Amino acid sequence: MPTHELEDQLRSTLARAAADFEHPDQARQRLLQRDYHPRRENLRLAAGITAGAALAVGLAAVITAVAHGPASKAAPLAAPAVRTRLLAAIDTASGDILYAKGGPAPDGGTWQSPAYPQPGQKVHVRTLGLGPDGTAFKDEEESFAMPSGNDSYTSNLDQGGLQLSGTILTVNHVRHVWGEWHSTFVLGFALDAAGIRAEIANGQFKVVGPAELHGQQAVQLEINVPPSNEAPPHVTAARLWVDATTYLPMQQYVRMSNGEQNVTDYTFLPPTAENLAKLRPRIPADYTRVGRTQVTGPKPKTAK
Amino acid sequence: MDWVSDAASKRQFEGFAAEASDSLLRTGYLMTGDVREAEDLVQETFLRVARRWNRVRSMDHPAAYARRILINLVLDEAGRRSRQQAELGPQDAGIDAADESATRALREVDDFAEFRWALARLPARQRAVLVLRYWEDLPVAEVADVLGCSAGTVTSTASRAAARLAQALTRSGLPSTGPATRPS
Repeated sequence: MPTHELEDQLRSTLARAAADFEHPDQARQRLLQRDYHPRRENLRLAAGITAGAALAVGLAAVITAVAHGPASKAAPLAAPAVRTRLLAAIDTASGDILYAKGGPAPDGGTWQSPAYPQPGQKVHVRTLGLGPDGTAFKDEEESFAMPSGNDSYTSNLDQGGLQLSGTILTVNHVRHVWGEWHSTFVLGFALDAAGIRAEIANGQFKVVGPAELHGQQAVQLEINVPPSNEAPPHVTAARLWVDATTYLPMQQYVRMSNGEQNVTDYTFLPPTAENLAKLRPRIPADYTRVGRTQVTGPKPKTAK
Repeated sequence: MDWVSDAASKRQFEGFAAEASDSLLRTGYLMTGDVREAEDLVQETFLRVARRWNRVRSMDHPAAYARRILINLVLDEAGRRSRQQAELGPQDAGIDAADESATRALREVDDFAEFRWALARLPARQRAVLVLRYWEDLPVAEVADVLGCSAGTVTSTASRAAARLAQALTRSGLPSTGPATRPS
């Protein structure tokens, strides 16, 4: 044991070194503003799985802002550090619009606002489906209030899905009709942000390492997908690439048990009037408003 | 549910976090020498505490539990780095600084960036002993409990850590073998 004099000197020096902490109030305030409540326990990667690229929106939706500075490109962070930065990004998420796009069609995809909705917040999700030739076969908007608590989720956790009540607006470009109605529905992907937040908090991913994507430095993560008891297809592997500087997600890859693979790219859009307009389906002037049953129907053969 | 699952529990957790954050931040700062890393560590600590809050809140000292998590996070990370780098720094062999010279070296510290640099060069467990024993002012037995070692190990480690700290402060031009970089 060091002498008393040395011990006293250690106490004094450590106290002065600790007092050197710059802006502790700011750090403290940031810490206390964060939400430490994991909303869900189980991984629900899948919701959008049957909807292909839509799944990834959930993953991406949680990561919309950066609370800390850029990640070190030279020394990739360990999973705990990545997790805290991802969670910080989630917790500081504001009203960005998340645009997720999968497949070769140039204009289709999903827009969600806000990217990471909080309980009670009004949420808009627009899905524009395009065929290989660029022809729209589906243009739909779901509007609802983000529920709170775990009771809102369906019991079928592995398949994802959030039981919601809200408004659906659908444009049927095959029949040249559109309709809007109130309904309950299960939305698989858009609110997976809460689940993924819990998933990240629970540490069920690992950092694969640095990567380059679209000419940018990225960090590749691998999501640990638990075995599924659900009927196939279900997700068997999932990877996420985040920008090494901003921590915003860049791309998501999922592989299904039936061999199908989906890749989704992300863009975060500021909530300008122009971008907010993208959340609303376009209804051509000559389309007729009809009832629900006349709007919904089988997809055309070109829509795969 | 074993997390902050209702409004009252959530308020209780927030009160705990408000009270514990300053001490945890400074402990994290001393353990890492980096403000941002300290904040990351405390956030991760709070997340883990929140996950077990229904159990933690019934403990006599939730803050002690949180501190233990934070220290373990640092030690785990140091272990990972040491496995990757196969070293944490120079070995203790040859360190013979007497308490008197160590005291003198510490007394002459007027650049705390230099001190934190020297502290960061210590192996993580040595750093943890110094921070817990002399910053947190924990009794030896409690430090031993946090680190999962004997009281004797704590005292001997404290001596070695102080000697190494003094050596780092009094010698210049040490080769950079640890994760820390010398301040400019």
